[in-house]
Amino acid sequence: MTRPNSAAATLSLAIPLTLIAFAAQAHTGEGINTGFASGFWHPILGWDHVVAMVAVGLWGAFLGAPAIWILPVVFPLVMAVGGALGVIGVPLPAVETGIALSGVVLGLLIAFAVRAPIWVAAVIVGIFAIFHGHAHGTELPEAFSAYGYAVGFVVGTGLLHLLGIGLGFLTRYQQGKMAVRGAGGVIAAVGAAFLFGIA
Amino acid sequence: MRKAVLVSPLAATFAASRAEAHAFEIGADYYSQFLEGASVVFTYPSLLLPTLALGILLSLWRLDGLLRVWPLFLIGLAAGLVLGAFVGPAVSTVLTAVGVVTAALAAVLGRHVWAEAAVLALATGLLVTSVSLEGHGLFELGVFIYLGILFAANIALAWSAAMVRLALEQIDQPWVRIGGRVAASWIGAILVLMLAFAIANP
Repeated sequence: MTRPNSAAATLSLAIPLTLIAFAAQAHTGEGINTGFASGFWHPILGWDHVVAMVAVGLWGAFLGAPAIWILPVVFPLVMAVGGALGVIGVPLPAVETGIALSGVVLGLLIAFAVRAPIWVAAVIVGIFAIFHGHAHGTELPEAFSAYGYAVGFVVGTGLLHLLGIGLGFLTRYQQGKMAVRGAGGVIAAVGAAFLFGIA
Repeated sequence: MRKAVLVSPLAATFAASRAEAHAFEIGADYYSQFLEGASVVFTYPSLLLPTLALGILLSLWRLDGLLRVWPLFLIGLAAGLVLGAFVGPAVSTVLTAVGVVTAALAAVLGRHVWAEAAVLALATGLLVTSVSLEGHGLFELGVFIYLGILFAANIALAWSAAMVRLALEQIDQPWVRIGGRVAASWIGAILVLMLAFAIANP
């Protein structure tokens, strides 16, 4: 008996599944699932947020242990504090500027492979985390489950950090190090585009 | 002392006000009562997350951390059965705040001490049963509802502590410990937001 080609087998499964797919009906816009989805996608669908979250992981890779792990421990907690300030209604000046600046500053730190002491890195990341959290907190859709939103928001943010850390492991190789530093330049450019209103 | 032990449950029974948080179905059979009690802990995030955070902290403190302070957690649970009759909805916010402190300490501190673990175990136990019962007097509900609450609180604590201990024992890598701290950080972040929601919409 001959084994079927794996690509053909995958296609033979995928095509019927595609054809029988119909509009999703499970989540009708109420309750924890929608709250979770809203919170989960919120940090992922905004480029200004994405580049900063990934940058935290990338910069941690340049700083080495324990920073590569400590920064993602600090960021969610501090960002949640910023989110809480937004939810309660405590005003924070220049939130959008702070978010855009986070991309510029973190991107440049990566591009120049700056090795700051752990406490300096934690303070820099923590300050920017407040701005990102505040933006998420003030934009909470009232119709959705607050608990689901909180879980989705933290998980979405955490996964972006893990993505950055994963990419940061490329710094173990010379070419990977150059690629990561290049990514830092791109992140700084994206941040600058938001800062000057181009994006 | 003996008199106080007798008087406290009686006072709790008579002081019980109309419960609002969890409307237990007292007429259900024993098994349903047990499940109902357990489901309160498992399905109410303000109860579950602080308990999970405590389990993580205890195993990060030391591998047998849970066993060392479990009696204090049980004492807290027992005291909460009495305290639950006197508390209002605000006690849920207090438990969320204690959960934030527990998770933040587990995430941020590299080392922990006995006093920290003991106080958090006692406070979490006390508040878990208080929030679960919130206004229900002692003996007002079926005994199997209380057993369900106690069972679920202990299972949630033991499960999270066991998961961290198992990972630390089985995988001898420094990132495993950090993984536990990241989990605590995520739980803490969720609880911070829940605390804000509770304050913003009392």
